[in-house]
Amino acid sequence: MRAGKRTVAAVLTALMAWSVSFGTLAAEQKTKYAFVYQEQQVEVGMAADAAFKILGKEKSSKVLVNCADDSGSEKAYIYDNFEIITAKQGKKEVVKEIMLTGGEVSTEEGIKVGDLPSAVKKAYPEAKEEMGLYTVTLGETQLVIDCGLKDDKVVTITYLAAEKK
Amino acid sequence: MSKYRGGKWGRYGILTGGLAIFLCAVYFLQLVLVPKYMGTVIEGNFTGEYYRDSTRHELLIVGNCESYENISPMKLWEEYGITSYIRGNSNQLISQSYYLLREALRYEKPKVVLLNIQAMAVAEQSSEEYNRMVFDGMKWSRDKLEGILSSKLEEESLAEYLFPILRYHSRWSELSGEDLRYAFQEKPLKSYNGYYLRADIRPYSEFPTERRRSDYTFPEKNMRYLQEIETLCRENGIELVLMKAPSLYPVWVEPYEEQIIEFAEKNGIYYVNTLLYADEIGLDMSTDTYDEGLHLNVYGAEKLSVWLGKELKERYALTDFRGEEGLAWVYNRRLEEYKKEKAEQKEEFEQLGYISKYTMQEE
Repeated sequence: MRAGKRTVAAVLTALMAWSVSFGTLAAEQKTKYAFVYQEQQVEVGMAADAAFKILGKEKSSKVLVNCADDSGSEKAYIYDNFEIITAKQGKKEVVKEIMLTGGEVSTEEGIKVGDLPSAVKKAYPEAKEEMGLYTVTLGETQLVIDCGLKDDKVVTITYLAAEKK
Repeated sequence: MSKYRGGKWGRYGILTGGLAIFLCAVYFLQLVLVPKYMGTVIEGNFTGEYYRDSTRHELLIVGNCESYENISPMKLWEEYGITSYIRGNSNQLISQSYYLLREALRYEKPKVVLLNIQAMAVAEQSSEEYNRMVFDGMKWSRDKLEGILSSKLEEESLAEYLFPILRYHSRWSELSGEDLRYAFQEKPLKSYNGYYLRADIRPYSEFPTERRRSDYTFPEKNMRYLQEIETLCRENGIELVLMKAPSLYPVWVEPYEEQIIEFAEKNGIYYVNTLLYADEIGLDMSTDTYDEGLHLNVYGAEKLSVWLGKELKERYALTDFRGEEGLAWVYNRRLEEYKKEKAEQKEEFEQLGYISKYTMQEE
């Protein structure tokens, strides 16, 4: 009888330890928001070259510099359902923003252009809303979901670096 | 007893002489090391070129690239005899426009100051290079000092502006023949009264979607400096005009427009948003821009200048100086150079499809 109790206790302890480690692992897995395209992650801050290997050839691109071109210049790459803004960091071109503009792509949590604000709130319960803009932060990344001034449906979804505190 | 001949005074002499030689060497080294902006990015010359213009101007234009790439003072002269100069730089902040204007008023008192207001939406400088392009060519004065302090980035130091060698000492490995030549020789003028001439054509194409923000209120600092500009003009009896150039990007959103209209009405200032008059001006973004709609090329800038010049001339009775011999000689000579470069760029663009001296810049 005592041996049985010991066995049950040992099994429970093992289960608890497993669930704690599993939970920790799960929490560790999601540390930032990233755009998943064809099962590969495109992240803010990654090298533009690496991103384009995943995304393929853009529909059009253009330099966005407003004044004299220098190391701070930005470039936009326009695809059918999303747009990538890159910036130069020294000689390296990195992804600065990813904006989803069409309904054929979605966030990892399943939100896409055209969805209702209620779906956004359900997928991102911690989102802060201001003027129809829903913002969630995870690690050093931020997701801004624009539901328009009327706050009636998702217009764009943007991945960007979180504002430094 | 001193072992040096001449004793104490001899030692001082050697020390002073040594110090003088050292300072001279540092000075000459600095002349070599500072960027000359002669190759790709020529905009770094614009602030300094203002001092080389010996004439006075009835119209002074101030602002960022939307001013110096979209308005042609040469066309204003050719068409209306208006004397004008653009004190503009890349990414010139509103505070920097204020200090450049305040400095300009030490040299001249224009009848009209036209401020392009796109920079009202720019909270802070995006890179040190832009600050250097504004201030490196500026003569030392209280205006320069306060201008630097108002806009320098956290990582910039005043000492690096006072002694540019502290900033540029590492340029030794990238020095070119131009660095040596123009360290001791006057550089050729790169602008036409502050105007940046581009005769290449890259038609308008789709811009990316701009991310909407929850707050479009202009930064408080910009509003404060805009008010300072208004006060400066009013106290000097100068008419201030606010203008939004017809550049299509960054998007000039409605909340920006409302804030400028409110400011203009409150202060009794004329404000013109040329985006609303693109058809009347005759702009065709398939031919009148060199960077797909960000800025006008010379063909677009001349159209805007013809339209704007008429507007300003009628509104403020600007003088037609074409009959003044001395002034006309200076302007007409520069106008000839302007036309020559425009023709050369046009020809090169037709042959190559690009303008070689700007190509590296855009790669």
